[in-house]
Amino acid sequence: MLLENDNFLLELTKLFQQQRVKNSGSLSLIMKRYDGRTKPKPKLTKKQRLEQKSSSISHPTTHETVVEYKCLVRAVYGSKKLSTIVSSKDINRFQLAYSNLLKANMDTLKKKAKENKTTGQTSTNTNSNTPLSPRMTTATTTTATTIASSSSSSASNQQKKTPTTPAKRK
Amino acid sequence: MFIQSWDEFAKQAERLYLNDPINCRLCLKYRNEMLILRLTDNHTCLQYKTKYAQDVKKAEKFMSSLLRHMASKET
Repeated sequence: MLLENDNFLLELTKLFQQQRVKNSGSLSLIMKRYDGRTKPKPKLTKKQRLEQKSSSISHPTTHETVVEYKCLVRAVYGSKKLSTIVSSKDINRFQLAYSNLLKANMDTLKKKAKENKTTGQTSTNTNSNTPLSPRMTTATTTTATTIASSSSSSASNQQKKTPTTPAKRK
Repeated sequence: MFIQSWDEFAKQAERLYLNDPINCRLCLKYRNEMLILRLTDNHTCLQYKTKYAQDVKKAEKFMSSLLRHMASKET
């Protein structure tokens, strides 16, 4: 069904709610550029093709025409199909409303349990990267100060990564 | 054939779209606990699958920028 932009957004929220209630089925959203054609583009006859070729050789095309494209947005859920066409002057309003809609409704996905860049808190998916990262940054930025005030564990790391530092100490 | 990293998908998708904007379409399939993004220009197809909520934000940002580009004026 071809709808207006606002109607389309309303119906799309209804579809999301239906999906939440039923808890099954997939909602597909499709976006495509549209140049406003309502008739199919006919294939050129041989004569027309030759004419087109010769004219393009003699007059190289200078693109001065402004083409205004629109965007076709479709939504399919089960047997229900919706569609709308967004032109460039409605794009701001539509894009804001659309992105808010998506953010609000796509919430049945899982949350990632990993915590990175926090102060050494262990999570279920820890790997050795997280405790090393703050130490690595200190090692790269201020090697001179860290050499003096390094603890034993970090010193061992530094020895592995910067073999020149023991030479400097000596 | 799913692309594993989001950045890789975004980069390749942008390249594919700018190559041929009129023939590219972005499909987003939302199921319970899974989100699949697909950008195709009828020759090649890039897909990204996720089940995490943090990817929704990235996907939505990507979709918005693509939407803006699709509905823009071009000289």
